Amino acid sequence: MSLLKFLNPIFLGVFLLSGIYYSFLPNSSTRDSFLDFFKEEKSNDVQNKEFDIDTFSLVPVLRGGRVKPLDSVARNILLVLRNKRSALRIIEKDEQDKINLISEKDKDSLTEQEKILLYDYYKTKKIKIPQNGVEVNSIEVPAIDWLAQVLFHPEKADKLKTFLIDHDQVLGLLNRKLLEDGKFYSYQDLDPFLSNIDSAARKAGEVESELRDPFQQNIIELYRALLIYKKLKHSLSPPTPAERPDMLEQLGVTDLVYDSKKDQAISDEYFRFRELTAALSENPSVVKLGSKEFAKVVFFVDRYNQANLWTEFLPIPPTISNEDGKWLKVTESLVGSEPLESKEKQNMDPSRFALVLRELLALDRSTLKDRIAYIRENQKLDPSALFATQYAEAIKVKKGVDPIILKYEKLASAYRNERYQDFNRIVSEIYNSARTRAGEKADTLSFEKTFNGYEPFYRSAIVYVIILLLACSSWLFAPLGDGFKSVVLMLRNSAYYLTIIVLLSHTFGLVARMYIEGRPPVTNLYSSALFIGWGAVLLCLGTEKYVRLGIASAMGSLIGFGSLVIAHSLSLDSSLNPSGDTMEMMRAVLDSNFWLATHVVIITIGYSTTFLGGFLGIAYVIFKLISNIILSQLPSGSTLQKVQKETSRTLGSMIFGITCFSLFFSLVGTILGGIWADQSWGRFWGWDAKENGALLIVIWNAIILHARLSGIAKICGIATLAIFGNIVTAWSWFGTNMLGVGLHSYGFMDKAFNPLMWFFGSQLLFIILAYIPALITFLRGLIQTSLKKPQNILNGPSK
Amino acid sequence: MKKSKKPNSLVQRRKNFSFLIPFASLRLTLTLLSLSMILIFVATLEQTRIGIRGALKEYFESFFGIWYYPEQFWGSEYLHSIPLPIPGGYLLGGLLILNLTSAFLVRFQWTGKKIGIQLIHSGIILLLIGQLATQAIQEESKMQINKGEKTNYIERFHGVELALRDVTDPLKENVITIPQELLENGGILSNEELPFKLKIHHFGVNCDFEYGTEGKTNTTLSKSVDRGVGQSMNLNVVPKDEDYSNDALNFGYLVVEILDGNKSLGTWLTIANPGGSKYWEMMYPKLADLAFQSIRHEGKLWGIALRQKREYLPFSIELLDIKNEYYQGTETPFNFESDINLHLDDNQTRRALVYMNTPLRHAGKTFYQYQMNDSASYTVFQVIRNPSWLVPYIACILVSLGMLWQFSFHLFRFLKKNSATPKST
Repeated sequence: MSLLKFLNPIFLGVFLLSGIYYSFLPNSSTRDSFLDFFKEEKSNDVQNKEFDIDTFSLVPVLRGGRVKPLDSVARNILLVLRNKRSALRIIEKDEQDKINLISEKDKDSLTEQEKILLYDYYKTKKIKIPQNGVEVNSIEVPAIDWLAQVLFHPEKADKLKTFLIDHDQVLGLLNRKLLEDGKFYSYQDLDPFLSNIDSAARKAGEVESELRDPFQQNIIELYRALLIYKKLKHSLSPPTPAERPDMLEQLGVTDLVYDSKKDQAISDEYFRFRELTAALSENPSVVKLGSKEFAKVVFFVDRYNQANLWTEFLPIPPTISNEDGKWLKVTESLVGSEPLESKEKQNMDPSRFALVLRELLALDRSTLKDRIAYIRENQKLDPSALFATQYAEAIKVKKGVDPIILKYEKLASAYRNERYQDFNRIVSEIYNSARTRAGEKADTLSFEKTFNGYEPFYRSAIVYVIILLLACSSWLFAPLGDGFKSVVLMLRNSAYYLTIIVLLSHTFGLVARMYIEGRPPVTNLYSSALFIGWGAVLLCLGTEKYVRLGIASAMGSLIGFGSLVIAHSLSLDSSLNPSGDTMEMMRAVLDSNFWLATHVVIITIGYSTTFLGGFLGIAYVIFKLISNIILSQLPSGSTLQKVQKETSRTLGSMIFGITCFSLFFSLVGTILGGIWADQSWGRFWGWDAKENGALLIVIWNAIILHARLSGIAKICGIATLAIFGNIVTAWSWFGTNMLGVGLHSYGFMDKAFNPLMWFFGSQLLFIILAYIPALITFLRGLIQTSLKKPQNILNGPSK
Repeated sequence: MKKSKKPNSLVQRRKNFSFLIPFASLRLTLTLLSLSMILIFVATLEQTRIGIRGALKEYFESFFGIWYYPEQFWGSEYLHSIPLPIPGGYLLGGLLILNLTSAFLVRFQWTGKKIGIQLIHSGIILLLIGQLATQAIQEESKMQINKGEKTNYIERFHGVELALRDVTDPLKENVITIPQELLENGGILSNEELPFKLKIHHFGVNCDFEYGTEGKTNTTLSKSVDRGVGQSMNLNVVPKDEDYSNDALNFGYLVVEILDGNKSLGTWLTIANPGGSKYWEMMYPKLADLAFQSIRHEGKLWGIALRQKREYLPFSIELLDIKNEYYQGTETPFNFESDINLHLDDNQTRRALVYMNTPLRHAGKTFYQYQMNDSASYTVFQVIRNPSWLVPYIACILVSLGMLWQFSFHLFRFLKKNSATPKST
């Protein structure tokens, strides 16, 4: 036993260190760590032997309404396309042969270069994937490297495994098999089938979204993924459509459009367009139908309007002269955007259009701006005038070509030709200029990038599993007798202290999201899952502080882990999170930080406490089942029986106490919701689906409490009632969103239906299990009484 | 409630209100709460089928609702045909109020220690009463304003009225309206201000209509129509059940004969456009006249139209500007905003902004931003009148105080009990 005394602190230390290692330090699963937050901004002496991808990943752009670093764009898009935050590169056969050749060589005869090659090869983790029925090695390409290739070297990027396709019928359409070809595909793999995918997706799109079968859902998802990929490719270099040469000749623009043989970059075309518009703004009288000069401008404006559609993010930050602080697409910076949908052009009166445009161009630049704003505000039903404003803007208001476009072009060329020094110089120029132009919205860029790499929720999930294992193993030692008491206590203490450590990293994740978004913690379903887990763990920590049974630790870590898994799968849901960004912008109706911070937070705590009560109920059921099995082997009156009684009672009072909290938070949260509704919609209560869901939780908690207080339900009774509370809460959390009705239905989802049903089923199973011991005793009593003749019929179910 | 000074006042109260004892049982509370769970769950499910308003009418604003197992669920082929009675909101709400009040009188101890419990339960009683009152008297309407124009009336979402407008004098219009209840009752209607009588042939709250082709006979319903648009466009009307769903469009219809004494002036068909009378011109230009079908009688020009029930306000609202803003590069809206002038009856005006989470409150009504059309430059407010809006606030304060008292009391005791040493087994 003295050995245990010696070993216990060591084990405790090891467990705690492993917790810190998985929570905060660089480890095998994530390269980046908490330490990165303290790293100083990189000094200017960049190594010129490789690309400065770090700076590149910090460049701010606008996507999904939010200014974010390219790092986030890359990760979010890959999350949509491949459900991972990386792409895969297959090691080609000749490359593999070369490596094999070098590795067979004698160590001393290797050149420096070969050593590096070999070192790099063995350093990187290789993933085996099937390819034409053969297993091949592939290497993970980090999201930001993938993005750089997509933007600057698309031919290379097209070979990377970027798309996840795991539906066998969709694969059948591509003439592939899951077992032989795996589930990851590159754009190159898909290229020959684009028209098949397109037509199948179109057909599926005709079906109402609720009625689509899995094939239809999957083909539409693939179609969307391909669309995102194509748009991303053209975000910095707009597509140059292959127009018919005779048409170009007829318009007289053959020498003006981009020619890859003659021109260095597509911006040469932009400058020629600018010459055209400059000439036109000098001489507005040319603007009329049938004028050759004007027709050229019309051609380019149309061309750029088309290109405007092909962009996944907005790369050009606001300029100082651009007062409204708008980000722009590349071609938008040249010609602005169409004030109406293109098809409205049919309703345009061409001669009036020309007349308005001539009038506009005759004005000087500042009056022109005011006049354009006036027309857009007041003549919304007049397409001729509205389209004229865009042309006036393109011809006279917009000037030159934004320098950042030119820099991006140079960056692309440096990347393609592997000129590291140029790339690194230009990328820091772009970063500095974009940062300054983006203003204070870009303040969180580097924090966000480090946060992305740190992945606090992934790390926390790992530690939650460790805690669960520790707490469970403490119960294995518990029946072994007093000799192992110290081990039991050590395990429970480890679980308790690990909970504190993991809570720090979980909390840090929540706070970091709040800082980046500038919002309270819960803004969408994803963040509600993060928060529910957090709240439950926090409460468990408080419970475990006083009742060191390991039960609260185990249940807390179970909920913590479960909610993080749910959050992760929510982030993968294409209908809920089409952009892959879990920090998306909020709809107008939710845009109130005060109510998000009060009503939403409190009601979410209500969810998490109700779940906690339910899981403690499950713990009670399992505990009772196992202890009954053990006890049935032992003579009655043993100390274990006493322990069982006491633990049951403690669990019962824990469930009761948690239910009090649940009732408090769900009632207060629901009432605050009513007040918010009254403030913004003029009615306190509208029987809306989400409101009803919250009310169900309140009523259910009230039922549990009153059933216990009145003595109608005993310990087992409130345990099962609390388990049913899980069903009620899950319904309110997800079920109401599936109905898709009411003012609150901002998070519609249908994929959760089956998991939800499984969850309901499992909870019902636990409720049934709870009554099995009672049922057995009852049956046993029945058999005994029937054998012994009427003696004591009331010997029925024992509590 | 008076507080008795006798030491065992509960005993005294139990004697005085002995008839309430059966109603105060906790088992009754638990039964009622469980039934409310069923009610709320079923009514929420039914919202997908019949909309919030339908669910309100069938379940929450009734004593009993009849529910059929949904057709989409498993096993519906056996279960769907069974009608299941679901206790309605009025029944459960009323019984809960009775149960709680009785418990308050004959079961609760009115002592300082239990004051938290009493506060919470009196708050709940007040919430229930407030909601029942709201359910009974709250009115929901809408108000549509075009940019640069003024509107001085609100229209109900549901319910129609027959408007007879005397427009002989271009300066002063005289409007006589006949509410839906009278039209439903049918028969011959007269009004002191009306020089003629109205004989109601057919009335319904929703219909389908189509242009009849030459030679094809009309449905029996519109056969008798011999004047106005119904006759000139040869309109066929097929009655339909009222649609309760959230985006329902109910076209009320009326076939009415106008009688001067015993002489018939003709029979008209009039249909109400759920969007408002001006929508006839936008949606069905051929039927634009349904907004105003003229009748000449004794040198006066009358216009007849069935329209959404209106309420005229003693003030008007002018729409100055609307803003409809999206997050850049997305289709997620972040702001809908109406810039308005409120014209009060004493020629004063007040400027106001109506946007999300910030409605206009004036004269007991709340105007909140409901819909907006940027290209056609109009805004629609939902208008809610709820005189009992203060009740939930008072109830909330009571509940909060009670909870605060109760839980801090328990927490304090818990901490005191456990502060000695962590317990372990």
